[in-house]
Amino acid sequence: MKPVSVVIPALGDVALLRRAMAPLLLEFEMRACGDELLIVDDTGHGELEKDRGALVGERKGVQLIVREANGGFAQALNSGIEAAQHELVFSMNSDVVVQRGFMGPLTAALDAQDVFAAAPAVWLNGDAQTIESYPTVELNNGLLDFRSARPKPPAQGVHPIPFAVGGTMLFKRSLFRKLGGFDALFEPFYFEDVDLCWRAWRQKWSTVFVAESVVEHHHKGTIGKLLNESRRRAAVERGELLFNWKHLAEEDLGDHLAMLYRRTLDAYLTDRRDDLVWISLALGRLEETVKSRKALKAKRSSRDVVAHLLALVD
Amino acid sequence: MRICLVAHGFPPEERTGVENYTAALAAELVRAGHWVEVFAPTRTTRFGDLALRREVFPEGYGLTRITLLHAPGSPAEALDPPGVAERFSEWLDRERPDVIHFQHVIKLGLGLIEAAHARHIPVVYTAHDFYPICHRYTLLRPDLSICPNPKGQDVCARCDLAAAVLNAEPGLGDYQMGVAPADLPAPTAARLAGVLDGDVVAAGAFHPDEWERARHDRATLDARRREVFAKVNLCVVPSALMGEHMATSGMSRVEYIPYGIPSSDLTPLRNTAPVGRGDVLRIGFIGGLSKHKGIDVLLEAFGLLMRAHPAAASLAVYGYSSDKVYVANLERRAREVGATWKGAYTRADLPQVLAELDVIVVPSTWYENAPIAIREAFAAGRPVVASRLGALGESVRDGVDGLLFEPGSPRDLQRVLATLLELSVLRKLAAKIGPVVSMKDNAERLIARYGALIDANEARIAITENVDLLPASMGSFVQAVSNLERAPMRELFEHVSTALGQLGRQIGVPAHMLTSERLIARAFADGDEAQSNLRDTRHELEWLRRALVSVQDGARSQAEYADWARATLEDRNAAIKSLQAQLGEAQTALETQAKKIAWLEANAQASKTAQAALEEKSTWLESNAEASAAAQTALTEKAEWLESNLAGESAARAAIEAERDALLTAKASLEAENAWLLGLRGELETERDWLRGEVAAREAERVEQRQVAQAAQRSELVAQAEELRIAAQRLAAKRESEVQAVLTDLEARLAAEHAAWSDLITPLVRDLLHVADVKDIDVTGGVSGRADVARDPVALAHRALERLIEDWRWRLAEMQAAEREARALAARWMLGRAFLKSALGERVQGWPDNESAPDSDTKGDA
Repeated sequence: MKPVSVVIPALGDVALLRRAMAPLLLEFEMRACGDELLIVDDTGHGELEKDRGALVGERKGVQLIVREANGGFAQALNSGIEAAQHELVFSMNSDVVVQRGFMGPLTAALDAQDVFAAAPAVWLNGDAQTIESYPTVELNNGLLDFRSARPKPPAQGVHPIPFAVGGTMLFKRSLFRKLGGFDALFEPFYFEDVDLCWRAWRQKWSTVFVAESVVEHHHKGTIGKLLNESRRRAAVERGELLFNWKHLAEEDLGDHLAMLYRRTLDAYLTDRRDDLVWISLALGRLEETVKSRKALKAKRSSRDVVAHLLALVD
Repeated sequence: MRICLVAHGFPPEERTGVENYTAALAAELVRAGHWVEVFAPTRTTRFGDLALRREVFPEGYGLTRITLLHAPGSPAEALDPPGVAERFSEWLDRERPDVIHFQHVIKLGLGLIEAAHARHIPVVYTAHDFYPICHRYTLLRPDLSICPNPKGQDVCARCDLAAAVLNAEPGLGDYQMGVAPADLPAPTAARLAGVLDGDVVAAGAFHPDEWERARHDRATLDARRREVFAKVNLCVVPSALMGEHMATSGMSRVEYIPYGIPSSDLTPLRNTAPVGRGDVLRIGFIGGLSKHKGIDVLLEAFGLLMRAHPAAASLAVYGYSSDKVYVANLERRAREVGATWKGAYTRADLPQVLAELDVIVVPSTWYENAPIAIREAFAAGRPVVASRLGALGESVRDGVDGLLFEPGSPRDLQRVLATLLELSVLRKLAAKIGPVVSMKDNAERLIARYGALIDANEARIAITENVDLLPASMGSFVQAVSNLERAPMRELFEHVSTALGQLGRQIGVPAHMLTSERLIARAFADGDEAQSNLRDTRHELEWLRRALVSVQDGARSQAEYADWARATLEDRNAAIKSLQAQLGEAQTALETQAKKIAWLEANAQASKTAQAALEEKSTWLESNAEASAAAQTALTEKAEWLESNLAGESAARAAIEAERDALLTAKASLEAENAWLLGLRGELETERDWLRGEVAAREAERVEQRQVAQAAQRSELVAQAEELRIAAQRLAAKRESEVQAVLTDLEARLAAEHAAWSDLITPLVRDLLHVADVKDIDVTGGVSGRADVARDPVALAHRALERLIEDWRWRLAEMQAAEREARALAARWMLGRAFLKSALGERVQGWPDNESAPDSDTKGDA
């Protein structure tokens, strides 16, 4: 068995963290192959230091990494991944509860050379009927449009998906480094995981869904606690635009720009302020987006990736 | 700073003080570098009801007018006109001002303040009049008298009822402000006075419920107004008097900030004023021509002045009013007194207007606040003559920069104006006019207040959104979202549209795709939501048009039906009237007939009564005659009967007398027999009494003898019993002593026997116990686990014996069993011996010994 480094970025809430840790450490014990857990304190003021005893204590293979400044989910993951000892890294949200034996099928899926990342079946709030880790992507009117879940994910086997959610993703650290890690463009949160996996796809490294591996996502994490729905939605919409501006193939940009003009005019005429706010938020990062787009290394275009994924699903 | 001003009107449609002030403030705020949007109503019919239209003024501020086509249908609707607050809310959501400064909410409604408050936008309100505490906003009652008690809800309810009195009076023009009693018909004026005094009788046809309802409605509406004004963050007052009143309005913070005016075009006039023209004093009125402005007082005073000092002065009246009837009356009166009626003027005309005047008169009959006209006059160096009423004394210093007169008194105003005919007096007043507050100063003070309110609000919003508590990476994102959410839609649209061009160029959209034609074609060729909405709206509009036509057709048909019904009704009314007339005549005839019948009936009744009396008398007489005849016949018959019976009676009498004699004889015989019987009875009774005495004597004797015998017997028995008792006692004593002796002897014997038995049994018991293995029994009688048993050696012995016997029985059984075994063994042995002696036995003896010795030993042991 290949050992795994699990990285959990945390913004406080020790109780939630301990609930997530308990089944994970049992899994380590069962596997007994030297897995490690790295908890990254991203509060920016070492809030978890006072709980070091409760979190780390005498446990073997558990570390607390304290960041000096709050940097958001992606940067906290980057810190944890840098300190990780193993090639396989599982990034995990503190509101995720793993099910016994989840790690085996996941690590097995990464045995293939061209697989960069694998996602377990993520049961939303513990409901086996609602799986949120089997997304799709379409190219519509100049927009790479991601849907987070399909109605009927496969019950078994390994299947290609456009991206794995950063909160429950196993990946190869060596490829992660080659890809350049998470892009700060998407700070403070959302779409950094989509971007990472998409860059991998564009380098011909795939991401897969592993039906036999199961975790539960209870959505009690920090973002949901601190920000209301409207703010979270703004981050998602902004992230989607930034992603498109970074990844869209040149031949799709014209359609995309026309779509944006139309959307802007519609929003203005129909008093949909939110649309204008989201576009405006993304435009605020135009300079960084252009840099990120120019720095991309890719073996195939986004249009090709979409076609490839559709072909695999078919 | 994004500042929104709200007013109840705006130039050029409305040109009175508040509207002009709002326009000047908007321009000044823009000059100070702020974003300004004005929201005001319009009555124009160019657009539908509640339509919003924005225009941009040359000064740089925007004005959005809301079309209000419907007059309020009730006091409640006047306070909250339907739909206006909703439209204002939509407008706010698009414009997102940082602060809203309400100049007035009349016509627009209280809902606007609530809408701003609900969106956490700081609210400033300038009290230009008394609206927050008086629904008539002037503290004037419908008869134009000053309100005696602004806090009295009963007083306010009377104003509502008084307005209802005026509603019923035609030809009053714009009477909402009120009507002077002199302009009303005497009965209406009396009724109006009755209502305002609370005199139910003089008030006329109001039901008591209407009084109560008016009080209730007014209390409800006033409570709502107070509740809404409590949401105002800052109330600005331009006079101390207004400050005192607003302190009671429910608004928590009231601050005095004097009005400013745009004065740069007026101050040059200071060098020229006041000069007069050929020694004629040029008097002027400028401002709104409302009834409470007292222009009628000025016209009357001018008339008096002209009579006293012909051609010494002139009067020009400048102003505007929507009250056409009142203005027409004023204009007529102005002509009569020799004044010049100038009519409406614009702010741009003002320097020219003031250049032609030496003194301005402000003859207001209400609690005037801080008239802009006074500031404009002072800016141009023109002294002011004003009523000594309300806050006018705060603006005009009597004898310094102007003069005051008794409010509503043409005579006193004429007196004051007469003093100014001496132009040197006027020039002295003009010389002491101080500088006026400029619009710039006014705006700067307001901007400072806006800034403080916005800062406080920002802090409040930050706390609500927890921005300071968020992790740094989220904080800046949330702040960016929050800033965009508070930007006006127009700015957002402009920003996004511009930035999209940059996006296209920077991310590498091919140049040929970036042309506007190409983009527009691509963007809209497939249709868009706005286009769909417009199409839908057009369809809906068409449907509405058709529905409207249908409704109009229906209404027309209803109107036709109503006309027909009305005509039919009128015909029927005429027929009813005719029938009613005929009915009246018939009723009159009927009444006459009825009277006649009544008279005839009365006569008939009297006749009937008399006839009945006569008939009764006649009946009585007839009955008397019949009775006399019958009596005579009876007497005759009786006499005849008596005569016939007389002979029979005599014979019967003789027979009866004979019978009587016989009976008397029998009676004497019976009486003798009775006497004898009575004698016999006496003898028998005497004998009976003697016998009774004898019986009693014998009985007494017998009882006495029995008692004596019983006594003797009892004595004998008692003696015998005593003897027996004594004998028994002796015997008992003897037996007791004998028993005692026996008992003593028995005890002694028992003790001796016990001792002997103990000596004898104890060793035996010990032995027995030993034999029975009873080690835990203390045979000496000591206390142990079985002390109760040990105390009775016999019991112990018995128990030991039983155990011994059991033991012996067991041994016997064992010995018997052993004997049986021995016998069996002996029998087998005997068989073995016989076997060994045989040839086979000898051969077997020669076999090697395979059996183990221990078993043999064991068997042997057994």
